[in-house]
Amino acid sequence: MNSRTEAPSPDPEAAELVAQRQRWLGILTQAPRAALAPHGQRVVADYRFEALRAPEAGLLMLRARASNSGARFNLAEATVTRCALRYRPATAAASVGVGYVLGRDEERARWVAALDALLQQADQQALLLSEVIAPLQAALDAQRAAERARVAASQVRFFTLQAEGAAA
Amino acid sequence: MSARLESAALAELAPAFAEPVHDAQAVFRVLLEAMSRPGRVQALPATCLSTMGRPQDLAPALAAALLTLLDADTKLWLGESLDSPALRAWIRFHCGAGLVAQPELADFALLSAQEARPALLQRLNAGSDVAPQDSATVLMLVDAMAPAQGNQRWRGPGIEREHELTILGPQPEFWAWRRAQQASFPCGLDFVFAAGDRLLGLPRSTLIAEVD
Repeated sequence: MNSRTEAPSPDPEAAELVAQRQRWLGILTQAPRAALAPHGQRVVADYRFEALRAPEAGLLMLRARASNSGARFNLAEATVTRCALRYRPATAAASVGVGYVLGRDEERARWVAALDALLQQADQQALLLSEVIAPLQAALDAQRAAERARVAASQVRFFTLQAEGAAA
Repeated sequence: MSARLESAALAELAPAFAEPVHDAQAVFRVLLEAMSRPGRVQALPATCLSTMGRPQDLAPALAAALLTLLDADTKLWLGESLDSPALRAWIRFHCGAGLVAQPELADFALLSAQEARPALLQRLNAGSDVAPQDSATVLMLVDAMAPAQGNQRWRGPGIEREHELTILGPQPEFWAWRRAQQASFPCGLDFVFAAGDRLLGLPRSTLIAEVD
């Protein structure tokens, strides 16, 4: 798959648009499937999308740095499914939504792309943010909090083995 | 390119193959046929042609060849007469291929027959005696081509005796340059001519007899 990193845009307004879209895409791609499914099924059924790229599975190389500062190395490959859909409303400009999800769940990639396309439409955005993104964020937060609580219960602190410079 | 410009280009992007895997396989078969039987005009598969999306002013045969041959590991050089922001965006999105500004770096070149002048062709990678397979492949838009007696006579591997055909578009200096290239075999450029939905291969091994 094609990897390209965009330089941060100098235009602050455009940068804000990008940050906003990154937020909702992050929530959509990480939301639990069960929470995403009803919203995804509804928009895919109610709106007409043109597939620029039908859902397709591929491999993505994950790269990492030792201790987050060493030389970059290839950690592993991950299966990723991607999809790009175009939504063309009668009155406004067309928008293209993209969905990248871990795993080979084509339906989920399609849902993410469809919701992303609609979220870029000014007249749909506010409603979708409150009706879809906010509940998904809540579901995601709850899932993470539960995981954190479960892990925290078994946390052990090794005072004597604490690495130099680490927080007390 | 700013984020907004980029999403605007994406909003008007043309689609590509309707069935990426099967269509690419079918077109690859056609390209293989074109290269192994030089001088035989090949048509794109009908199903692929009717369902394929492409930039408006790009010939279907060229669009199909690009989608089939290019990927993230290939570099494309674009001729000025075909170059447009819409085409660049389409190639980047659907092929994932890198576009290069210098012909020397290209694995593929996309140009029109009028641009195929010796000064440019000499800059394309013709491979080396050690690795002739590294050479570039030129996808060239021609005005017309027909498998009838005309201005071309070809001989060589893949041709039983001799093929006569008509190709309109390339200038006499192109044919002169191409005949001169025959001396540097196994190095040399391979050509795929395209007009509308038709493809025609001219590999480096084909010998072009004196043209009328």
